[in-house]
Amino acid sequence: MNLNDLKLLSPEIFLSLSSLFLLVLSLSKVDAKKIINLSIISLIITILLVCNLWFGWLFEPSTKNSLLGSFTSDKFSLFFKLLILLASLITVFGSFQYFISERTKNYFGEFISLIFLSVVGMMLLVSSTELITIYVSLELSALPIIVLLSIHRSKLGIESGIKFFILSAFSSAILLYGFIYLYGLTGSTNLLLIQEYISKMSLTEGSTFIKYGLIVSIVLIIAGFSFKMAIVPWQMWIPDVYQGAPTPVAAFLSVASKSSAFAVIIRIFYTSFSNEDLMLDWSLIFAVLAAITMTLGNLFALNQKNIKRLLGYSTIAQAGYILIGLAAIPGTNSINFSGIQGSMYYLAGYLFTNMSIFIVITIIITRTKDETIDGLSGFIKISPVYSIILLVGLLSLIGMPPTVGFMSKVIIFGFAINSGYPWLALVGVVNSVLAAFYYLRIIRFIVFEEPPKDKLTQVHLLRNNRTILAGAICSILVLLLGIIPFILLEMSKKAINFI
Amino acid sequence: MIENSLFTDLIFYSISALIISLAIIVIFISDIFRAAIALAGTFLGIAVIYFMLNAEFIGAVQILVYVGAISVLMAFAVMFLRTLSNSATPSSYRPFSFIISVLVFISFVIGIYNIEWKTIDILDHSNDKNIVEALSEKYYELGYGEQIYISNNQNIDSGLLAVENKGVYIDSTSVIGTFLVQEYLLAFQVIGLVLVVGVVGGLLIMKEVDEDKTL
Repeated sequence: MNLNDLKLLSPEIFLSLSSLFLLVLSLSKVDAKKIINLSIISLIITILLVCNLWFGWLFEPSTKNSLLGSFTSDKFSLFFKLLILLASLITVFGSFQYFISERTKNYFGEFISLIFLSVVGMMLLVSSTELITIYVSLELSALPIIVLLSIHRSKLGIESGIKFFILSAFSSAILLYGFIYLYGLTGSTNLLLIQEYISKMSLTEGSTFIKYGLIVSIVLIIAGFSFKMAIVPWQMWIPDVYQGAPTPVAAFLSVASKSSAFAVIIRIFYTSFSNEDLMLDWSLIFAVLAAITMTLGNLFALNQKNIKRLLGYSTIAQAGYILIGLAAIPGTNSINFSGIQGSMYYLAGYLFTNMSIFIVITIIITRTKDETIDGLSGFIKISPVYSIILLVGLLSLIGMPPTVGFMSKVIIFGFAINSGYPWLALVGVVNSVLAAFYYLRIIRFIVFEEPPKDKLTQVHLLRNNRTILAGAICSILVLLLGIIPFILLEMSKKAINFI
Repeated sequence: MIENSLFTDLIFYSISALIISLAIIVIFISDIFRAAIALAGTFLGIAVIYFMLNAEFIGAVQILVYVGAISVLMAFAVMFLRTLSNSATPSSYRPFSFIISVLVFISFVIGIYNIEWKTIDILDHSNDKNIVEALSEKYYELGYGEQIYISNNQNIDSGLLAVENKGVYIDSTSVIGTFLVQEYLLAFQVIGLVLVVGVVGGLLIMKEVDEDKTL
């Protein structure tokens, strides 16, 4: 490890050190508010360090790859690091009320430090270019979440923790099988070297079983990561885990964990399996999975009463839309990898959309302990500010025009048609209509129902400046990115230069 | 694997039969405590296979971690939670999952038997001189007392010890050690953080609950 490696790893090193520091600090008698503020500051510094690597303000590393090719800090990884860090920043910033609430105040230090360690795992995950590092980072990103899920030791919390633990162990075992097949076929764990071997093999040898082995490995790797991405048929944990999870953890899980899994699967498939022959195969797998995921996610969501379960199913459906971008490979020989660009835009928009909803849901549930959709009746009369944040988020999830949800759907369906999957775009549009049913039902409860009398008295309890600020920023970004999509598209275009 | 002879074959097949029969016992026995003991036997058998493959380090780790730690842990857990032992009810998905498992198993077996796996021999026989050269050069730099060549290619320099083996490095322990601080340095460091999470998380979950908090 030399100085250049340290420069490239600076955000990760800083964040892991600050997580350990906060852990120790929270054992002392320092005021809770100070510690939370300190954690927010360290997240902001980490974001600045990532930006520094993107723009080269302070120092510029001489190469993008380090540690003998196991780690890269290209713009693709930096883009996803920004997404993950923003998601955790919004989670920590918006959940202030939750952290100082009766249930959490004894262990919010561990809570924050575990979230930080999970973020470090995700940041390493999107940066690693080597199978063993990918696997270890994946474990680092998943293990803290298991603890966070059952941190309250309520019955539902323990259940969701154990479910997540067993399924994540199971999925990483499947993933490892895929990696072993790949290693056995190519004799390397480095993604770039694997790509070289694969291109040589299919040219020189006529054996059909090499392709058979690669397909087995591709299927196993997709299965392993689909657990994280919430793709059907590996989605069954989502509603239970979301329901039992502390709401900030559910928010973090729905955005950060998903983005990192998408990033690593894009990296593996577009570097190692970028052989044209193979591309057609895995693109079809992704297309079919996307169609099934969207449809089932939306169908299950239709008659959900619990808001967290409903959001869980909604994240499944959204994962289906994002997967369309992965299926949309360049149709002909012209190298134009815009399909992933669509996915990245969608993920960024989805980050702010989902975060704005979850922030408000967090504060409502922390206050009222009511998780049903009926509990939101007449919410616009109880708290207009939160209702507007919630409405903007929901409209964006439906895909209404001024929001980012609309733009990302337009872009991603466009790519689907361009790359020869018009049926996929059709399924997507039908699904958007289907999804509108249940999102509009929530909106109906918020806007048109009368609030129960006793709820009105809780108005003053709900107000929290930090949450409003975080939610407002999210809402503004949802609208802004929808109206001016070019900045984000330009960023993602730069980011996919790694291919 | 070490030299093929009737003796090693005999050992291999008897150990394999032991592993498979113990694994079947693990699945079908209803008493969890006995299942845990059978599982420990399975782990031990797998360790023997590792030793036969010249992977001494992995074999030792297998015995230390799986046989030594995990089996004992499971035995303790079963003893403390006596209620566990007789509560297993067969799932209604059993036939379905059986079919799926058999299909997955068949697809693995087809793959394992038919794929031409990338081994060191194949590296040598292929025209891919570059890979062999690059790999050998890397070991040149490691600088042990004895240089290890991972090829049995004829046109390597004399004066270095050419080790004929099929896919596994002789003295794998020191090679693994070198790899851990070179190629896999990052992964090695990240495992440290994983351990921190394990310790903090374990303590956090085991901490006493002051009052009953539902929801």
